[in-house]
Amino acid sequence: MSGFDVSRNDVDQISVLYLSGFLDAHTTPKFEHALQTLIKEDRVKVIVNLKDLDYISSAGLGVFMGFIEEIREKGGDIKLSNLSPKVFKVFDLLGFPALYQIFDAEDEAKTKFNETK
Amino acid sequence: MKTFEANGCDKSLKLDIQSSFKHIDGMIEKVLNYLKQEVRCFDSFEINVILRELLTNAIKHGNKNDESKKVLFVLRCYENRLQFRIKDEGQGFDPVKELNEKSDILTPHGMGMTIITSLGYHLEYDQEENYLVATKKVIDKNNILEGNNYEPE
Repeated sequence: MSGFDVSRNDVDQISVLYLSGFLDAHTTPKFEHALQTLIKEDRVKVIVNLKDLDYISSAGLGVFMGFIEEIREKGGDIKLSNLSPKVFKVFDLLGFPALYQIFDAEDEAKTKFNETK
Repeated sequence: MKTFEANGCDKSLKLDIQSSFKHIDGMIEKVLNYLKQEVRCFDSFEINVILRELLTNAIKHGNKNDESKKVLFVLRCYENRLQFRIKDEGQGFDPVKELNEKSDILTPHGMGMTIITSLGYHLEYDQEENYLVATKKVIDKNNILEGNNYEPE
């Protein structure tokens, strides 16, 4: 019925993670692993494209919070893009727009990273 | 307590699962299939949000990820309210502390409960039967989209 997948595309210094399916307590380890791998490779300019994400739970939101401090300390950031209105609502309920930059399109997030090179 | 009475409940569904995250998808699929047959209008995204938070809470915090334990789920559709009841085999909890705690990005404990209440559900704890009860006012029993915010009588 659901499932979850994460794929990655690196362009210059920016890495884009594409999440699809359901990000919940059962599937968060896959997303955590993807972020841990990026940090190990010192790729800390991260865009998470949520175009194909059907659902995110509080456990999934917790992953974003668990990595942001380390990534920013290393000079990077996690920016979000392509959220459906329903997925955005879940982020918004807990105040994420105050701490994370959220863009309608992936290219806008890339532009923002490139402005701050 | 009136909120917990089954009287007036027109449609109900009772399911249980072993206490593991891997069983959540299957249970939600059964609930959505039931609603497709019984209810004219509902928001499957919202049902997913609420049930995943409630079931995760029961499996993780109630049953401490012990797969030998069970989580019992009851859905009740009343004339103008929808109710989810979740029971685990844990020790119960302090409803005053756990259900009134507001969380956000800076105070993450209890985020799931905050999501549930932000979507218009009222949370109560049926201490006698160890059920966490989430209730929402809906337009009518065939249209379980949001009505005005539910307040217990």
